[in-house]
Order: sequence, then structure tokens, then C-alpha cells
Amino acid sequence: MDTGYRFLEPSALARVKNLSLVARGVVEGFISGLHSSPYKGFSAEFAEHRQYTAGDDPRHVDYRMLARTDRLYVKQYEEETNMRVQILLDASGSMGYRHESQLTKLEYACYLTAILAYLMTRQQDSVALGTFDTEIKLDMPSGSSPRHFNEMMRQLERLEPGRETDIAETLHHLAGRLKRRGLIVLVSDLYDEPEEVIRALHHFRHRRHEVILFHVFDKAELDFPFRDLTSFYDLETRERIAVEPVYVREAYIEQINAFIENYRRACAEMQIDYVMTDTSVPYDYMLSRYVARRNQS
Amino acid sequence: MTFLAHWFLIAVLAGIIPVVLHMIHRQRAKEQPFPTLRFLRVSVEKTRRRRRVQDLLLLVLRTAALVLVAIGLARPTITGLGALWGGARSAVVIVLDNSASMGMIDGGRPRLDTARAAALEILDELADGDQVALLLAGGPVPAEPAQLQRTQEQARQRLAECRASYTGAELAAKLGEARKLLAEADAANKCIYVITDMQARCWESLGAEGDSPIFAAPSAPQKSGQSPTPGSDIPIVLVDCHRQPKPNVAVGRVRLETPLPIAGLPVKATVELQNTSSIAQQRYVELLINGTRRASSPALALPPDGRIRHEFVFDFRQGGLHRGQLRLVGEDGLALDDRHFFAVAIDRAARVAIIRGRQHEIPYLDDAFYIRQALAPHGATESAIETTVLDAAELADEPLGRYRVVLCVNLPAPDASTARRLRRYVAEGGTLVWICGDRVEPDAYNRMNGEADGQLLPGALLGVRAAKDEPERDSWNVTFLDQEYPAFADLTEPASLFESILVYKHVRFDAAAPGTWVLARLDDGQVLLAERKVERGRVLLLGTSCQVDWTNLPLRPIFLPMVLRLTYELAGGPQGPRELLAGSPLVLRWEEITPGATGVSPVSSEAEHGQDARGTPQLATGVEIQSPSGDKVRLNVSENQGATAGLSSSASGSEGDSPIFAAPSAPQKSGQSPGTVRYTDTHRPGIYVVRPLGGATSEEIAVSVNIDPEEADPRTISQEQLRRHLGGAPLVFTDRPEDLAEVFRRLREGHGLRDIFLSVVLLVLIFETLLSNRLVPKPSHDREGAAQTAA
Repeated sequence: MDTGYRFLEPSALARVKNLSLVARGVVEGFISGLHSSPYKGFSAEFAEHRQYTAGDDPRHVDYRMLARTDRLYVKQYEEETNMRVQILLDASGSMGYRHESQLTKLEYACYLTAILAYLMTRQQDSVALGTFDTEIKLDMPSGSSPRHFNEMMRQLERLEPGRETDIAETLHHLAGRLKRRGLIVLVSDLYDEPEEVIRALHHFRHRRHEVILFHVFDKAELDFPFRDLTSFYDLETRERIAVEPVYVREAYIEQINAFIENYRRACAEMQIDYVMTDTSVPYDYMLSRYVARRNQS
Repeated sequence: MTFLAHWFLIAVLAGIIPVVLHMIHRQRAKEQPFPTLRFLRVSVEKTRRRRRVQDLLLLVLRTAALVLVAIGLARPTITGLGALWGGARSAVVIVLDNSASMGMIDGGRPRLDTARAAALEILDELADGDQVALLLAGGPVPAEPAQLQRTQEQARQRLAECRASYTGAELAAKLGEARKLLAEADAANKCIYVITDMQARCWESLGAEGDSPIFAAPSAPQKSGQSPTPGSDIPIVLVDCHRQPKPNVAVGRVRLETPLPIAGLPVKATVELQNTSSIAQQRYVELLINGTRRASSPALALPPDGRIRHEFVFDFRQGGLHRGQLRLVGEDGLALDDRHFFAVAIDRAARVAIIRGRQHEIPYLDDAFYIRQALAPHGATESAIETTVLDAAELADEPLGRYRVVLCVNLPAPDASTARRLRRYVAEGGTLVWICGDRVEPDAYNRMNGEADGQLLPGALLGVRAAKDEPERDSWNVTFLDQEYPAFADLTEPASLFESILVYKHVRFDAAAPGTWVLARLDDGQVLLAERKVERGRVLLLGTSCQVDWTNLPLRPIFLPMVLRLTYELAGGPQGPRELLAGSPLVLRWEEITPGATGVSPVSSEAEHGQDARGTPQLATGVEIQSPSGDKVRLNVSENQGATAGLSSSASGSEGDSPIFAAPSAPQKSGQSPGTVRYTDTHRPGIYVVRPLGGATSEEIAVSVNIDPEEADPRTISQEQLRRHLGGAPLVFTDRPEDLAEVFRRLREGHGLRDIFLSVVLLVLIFETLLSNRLVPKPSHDREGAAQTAA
């Protein structure tokens, strides 16, 4: 059954239909949802006790505690709310790379973004979409309505790889703009200065946003399968370099692994979910595995 | 360095192929987009330097391999460091084998002609400034030793004049001489050419000391104190001129036999013929005496590589010096070995001296009566035995060398001087017979024997014994006569012939000395007659007398045949002509040449000039030697100078030649023998006659000189044997004299380096393969493409 959207495949929908992506921390939603609200109120889920202060509703006094302690305590309850999700999609030139796979990294990211957006929207979460290269190219506000979702899909379909990348600046900018705690999903190849990007991610964490980082590669970037003398040219800068791949492969792989490991370690320290994937891995499979593992932990 | 195939050097340009390929390869780099070059840039930077070195190394190796292949195919050669800077001088010694075998017709022409052409080819290849020496391995030793010359005149002249000699060749010695010459030369290239027919006997001196090489190469293990032979690393080119020799038969050894070298008696000449070819042959042999053909053999069939003998029996009709020759009829491969010369001195009769102790006026009472009658019957004019009767006093001065047998009959013991003369006479081949009698005193004889070093008697005399002094005995009879003795062979049957001999008185003597042969014994075992060999002669002692008061022997029938046979047997003596091989020195003692001076010469020939040597002996003033060609050379000896010898010659071409006589070695007193005469120019076969100049006698001594029969030996030495014995010297063998120029050029240009270059190429290619495999990383397994999630 065709979904009507290029980046939303029925098979992917089927795979994620039973999944729910719940925020690990508390998010500031605006409606009731699946996620924990930072606000303590008097709803169904007991959360904790606090001392009675004048003006509290006596219905919430815990008489058992009174009987035990001769002190007045009131019950506080968890309030569940929906989540604001900001999906940031790297649309720089490097994301337009494809070696032998069917999808470019950008297309892969779009598929991933689409299914994530669908998942979130189905959970009544509010999804905002932003794309960037050296600057923010698309900044859709959050929404959860079908019309909003439809617009996001259309925007994704119109997306083309841009120019060079400036992830750090974009993230800093967004981090400063987003007031309420939410979930930030970054889909990028992160070809920028790692320290700058990590600092930007840290900015999000400082503002108590939960961050999920999907680090997308093409398999060729990871394996460097080239053999013959090749003149590589940079998709962003158009610089060229002639290389005997067999002689630099080992050093290149060492470099790329170090690059990945740097982000992995930094994300681990910042409690950011780091998911490294490449375009040869079905995005829906990758996402479902990630969500399942996330929900287990 | 030179290149034998220089056109291949063009292939050196192939060395730029790797460079060109590298550049083309770079220009054909495939275009490939990549998301970011940051990691590639870093990777390239990290590997750039190492890559550059590796690329350069591989480029150099590949270029070097191509260049070395091209150079190797161009066949580079090098001689020595001097050759790198151009124009290396050469020093060459040519050893030319001109022994007798090189006269063989081989391949349609004499081997020596082939060798001469090869030597000329070598000389033609020499450049200005090159040094050369020519050594001839056979023939007479040149007056001046060979020297390396920068001009070829001398070598070419000697080459033109050389002929196949009658002598053999000692090639090993000539090689040593050549090495010594070249060791002192200052040329960069040195080489020895030995042009020979590879006959094995020319190399017999190789490996004389066991199997150790005579020429010790520098690399060979040295014995203690032994240093490498100078020049032992100089290459030797052996040019084999042996092809398909024409079938040849050689006259080998010749043996002359005669019971007695006197006229009229038969002489047997046994000649051995050797077929040196591999096909059967049929040949005839002629016997010539004094230039006249006396006999011819029937057709003699010689099997392949076989020998046969043929005998000629003839006689000499008169005495004197006779020149004989055995000659093959017809032509064959080698003419030099088709003749054999011999010379025989024949007496008219055998001379026997009878020295009697006393002369009695009654003839039959004379000590020598019966002996003389037995040997020279009264009235006989023609007899094979010529007796001379002498008294004891005449013994001191009589030249004994004229006599074949000296019979001393009942002599008083001679004095010391006479004893020494008799000793010398016997030592030089004479036969001395003592016949006892009443004047023989055992003690005096023993003293005399002592004066002669115990060489005059078969044994010590023990005393006189008379049968009448023995109880119940009036005589002894002879019970043993040795039938093994040639003279008595037919006289022992019937035994009564000798058993009827009665001895009344005899001298006992000891016959136990070494070499003594007891010929007759008495019935009590006492020795009656014994013979003892002393050097070349012999002494006999008859213990009884030839007088009837001592024995009845003279009256017995056996006496006459016994005396005659014994005399003939004794007169035979050591016979055989004097023979030499061509090139061997003729050495004669002065006493042999001039028997009149010292008195002894066992073989005397009839005095051709009819001189009587019985007078006071006069000293010879020199000798004259006549060669087969008729040339005469004289040596005069000065009495007063003694040690010096002047050479005056009437021989053509001999003035100014190197001395052929050895001067007497010690100062001589007047009248004393000057020593020996040594004549070395015996390189031509034939009869050489030596005559004393002046002096009491003009007796000649004839010496036959012949080619060594072994010169016909066709056996050749193998290359392996030469390699083994020449001590590791670089050897080049060629059996193509016509291609010597090519060999010479190859030697001049030195060692080929092609193999070295191509070996290096192989190593370079192996190293390049290993290096490129090591340097080019292997593609590892693909990474897993699964998404990796953060912990």
C-alpha cells in the first residue's frame, strides 16, 4: 500500500507500528502524552511526598504518613505529557554522497527522518523539522497534525544536498532558540570539527534536551574499497586529491574509526544516544533495533 | 669493459619504460567524488614520505632490471682494472711442440705445419706494443734463453726455421719457463699458448710427485714452506693439432746379438715394429750395412695398434766399424721413426792375452804351452781367436783393453799397480782368468787381491794342497762340472769326460764371495774352477795348473773343447753397441776415448790406421766427433792448462755455437786423465764417431743415436688430466687451430660478465617482487556494514 510519500515506505511503517519512542528524561510537553513531564501535579501516578504547606489540597494529604510520623505530607503525582521533537537533518553537500548503494546519505536520512516523524506524530508528539548545511535551510515549527506531517514529507521530498557544512554553528543556534526541553534528533555525517560539534551537542544537553544522534555514512566511507589510482574530489569544497587507495586505506580507516570513536565517546559522556549506521543497513531495521534496545535499557 | 654484442645496448633505453608507465598511470587516475577529503588528506600525508621512498625504490629496481638485461645481452667483458681505461697490453708466450710426433702427417699435412699456421695466426693478432716469446719444446736448446720481445721478428724467424725434431718434448718444463717469463711482464693481459698434438708422453713430468700438481695455483692449499708458482694464474690455451693421423708404423727397439763380435760369426738383429694406427698394415723392413742393403724382410702384417718382431741374421765379413740401419720401406704417417741406426765394432778375431809366469826352453814345459796350442794351433792362419803371449814383466805396460780375455798362467802375484790395472780392466768389461801353478803363492795373491779391493779373485786363496800329502790318495778327480754354464753345456755327457780329469795338486780357495759361480769341484767337494762377476767383467780361477805335474787335464780329450768353449764364452763379454736417444748428451770418459793413455778399454776396434799400440803409450791431444752429416768438431786439450779446453772446429756452422763440450772439470796434472767429454748436439739420428786426436791409438768409438721409439706412442693426455695436474690454472682447450684468433680476442677482452649481469637481474627481479608484495597492502575483509549503536 503506497503511503503517498516518497520517504515513507509501507514496510517501514509496518516495522515501527508497534514501537514507541519514549523520552528518557522529562520533556516539557503541552499536552498529555507518553513522556514524563517535569511538572509535578496531582494526577494518577504517585511520584513522591512533600511537606504540607498552607493552601495544598487536603485530598492529597497522606494520612498514613501522618499516622506514622505525626507530620503532614502531601502526595505528588507524575504528570505525563507529549514531547517536542526537533529533527535536525544535515543537508550539506557531503550528505549527497553515494558509492554503490541505492541511496545517498541524504536520502537515507530523509527516510529515517520520515519514519521518525511518523512515529512521533503517531505518539501525539510534536515534531519540528530543520535542515541545514552552512546555515539553516528549513525551519519548520513543531506540529503534530496530519497536515503538518504532510508538509514535512513534502519538504523532505524537495530536499537537495547543499553546500559545505557548519553543524556546530547551527546546533548552537538551535540550542539557544529551543526553550523547552525536548528531544533533539540529529541526522548527519558530522563532517565538521568534532570538538565544535561536541560542544554544540553539549549545549543541548546543558539545556536538558535529550539528544539522539544518527551518524550516517556510506559503506564506502567506512571500508574505503577503492583500489586503482583515483582522483577524489570533495563534494563540498570541490578540492581534489590523487591517491593510490591501497596505500592510504589503512591510514584512512584508522582516521575514520578514530573520528567515529571520538563522537561515540563524547556522546556516551553526555548521555547522548549515538547510533552509527551506514546506508547499506535498512533504516527501518536500524531504527527498530535502536528503539527496542532503548526501551529495554 | 667491452661489449661483444654492442647493438643490444640500445635496449638500455627500455629503462625509461617504468618511468613512462608511471607517468601515464598517474594521468589516468579515475575521478571519484568523496564526501570529505579531510581523512584522505591526513592519510596521504602520513604515508606520503614512505610511499615516495617505496615508489622510488621500486622504480629504480624495475628500471635497473631492464637496463641490466640490456647490458647483459650486450655481452660485456672485462679483463682487469686497466682495461676499463682502454687499451690493455698483452704478453703472450707461444710454446710450440716440435717433438718428433709433430712430424706426423695429420689431416693431409704435417702437424707442425698446422701448428706453425696457428702460431702465425696468434702473431698476426698481436697489436703494436704487445710482447711475445716463442719457445720450442723440442730440438737443441738455443744458445740464448728466450725473452719477451715487443717485436715479432725473432719469433717469426724461429717459427719459419723450426722443424720437427727427433727428440721428445717436455711441455711441463716449457710451461714453467713460460710462466716465469710472463710473471715478470708488466702487461695487463697475459696468456700462454701451447700448440701440441697432446701426446701423453710430452706431459709425463706432470704429477711426478704423486698426484700433487707441480704448478701450485694461488688458491690451492700449499704445503708447508711452498709458495704459489709465479704466473700460475695466467690462462693457458691448449691448441690441439691432433686430427686424423695418417697410418704409421714405427721402428721400435732393435736388439743385436752375437756370441762374439768377430768377423764371420752370425749376428742376429731383432727389430720390433709398432703399428700406431687403428688399421692393420703390411710393411717391409730392410737391413742396410754400411749403406748396402743386405737383407729385406717378407711382408710383415701388423695388427691394429699391435707390435711384431722380425729377425735378421747376418754376419760381418771383415772387422772394423760397421754402420747399420734398419729401415721401413715405403712412406707412412711419420718418416722420422722409420729408421734405426746401429754401429758395431767387429774384430777380425777375438784377442786373447796369455800371460805366462815363465818361459821354458822346452816348449811343452812352458806354462802356457797347452793353453796356447789349444787356442792357436800351430800353422793355423785363420782363427777366430788371436792369442798374444806375454811374459809377466810385460803385463805392467801392456794395454789390456785390446784383449777380450787375459789368461794369467802360473803368474807370481802382480804388484799393486798391475793389480789396479787388472782391476780396472775387469771393471770395464774384461775377463781375467787365473790359472794356478807353482808360482802362485796364496798369501801374495791375497795381498794382491786386497790391493784391488778384493775384486780380482773369486775368493781368498787358502793354500796349496797335494794329493800325495793326503793319506791313501794320490789324486782327486773332478766330480762336478756345471752343465748350466754355457761353455760346458755339451761337455758333461758322458760324465766320464770330466770325471777322468785327475788333479794331483791344486790351490784351495774360498768360493763363498757374493756372485761367485762354482763351475767345477773335486770329489771331496773342493772348488776347482769358479767364476765371479765384477762390475762389467768377470774373474775366473782354475785352482790347478795346465802342467801335467799338477793335473792330467791337458792330456784329456775334454781339454781342447773345454778351453776353446770357455775362451769363446769369456770373449763374448758384455756386448751391444753404444746407443743414445736423440738429444741425449754423449758422455765419454777420457779413458774410453784414449785407451792408450790409461790403458783400459774393453771394446776395442781394429785399428783402422794399422797403428801398433804396443809401444810406449802417447797421450791423446784431443778428440774429434763426427756427426751423421759428416760435420766434424774437434776438442783440443792442453796438457799444461788441464782444466781449460779450447775449441777449434772444422765443422761448418759450428763456430760460435754454444759449447757442446764440457770442459774437464778439474785441474789435471800432466799425464793424468782430464775427466769426461760431453757432447750435447745429438739431435740428429745417425752414427756419431768419436776419435782421439794424436795419441798412441786411433781407435774410434761409434755411438748410434736414434729417435725414442716411444715418440710413436699415439696416446694423448685428456683434458681432465691436464686440469688436475696444472693446479687450477685457467685452461682453455681448442681443437680448432684455425679459430685461434677468436680465442685470442676472447682472452684479450677478458671475462664475460653476461652471466653476472643476468644473475643480478634475477636477484633484482626477485627483490622487486618481494618488495612490491610487501609494500602493497592486501585488501582486508569488508567491514561489517551493520549500524553500530552507542552503548
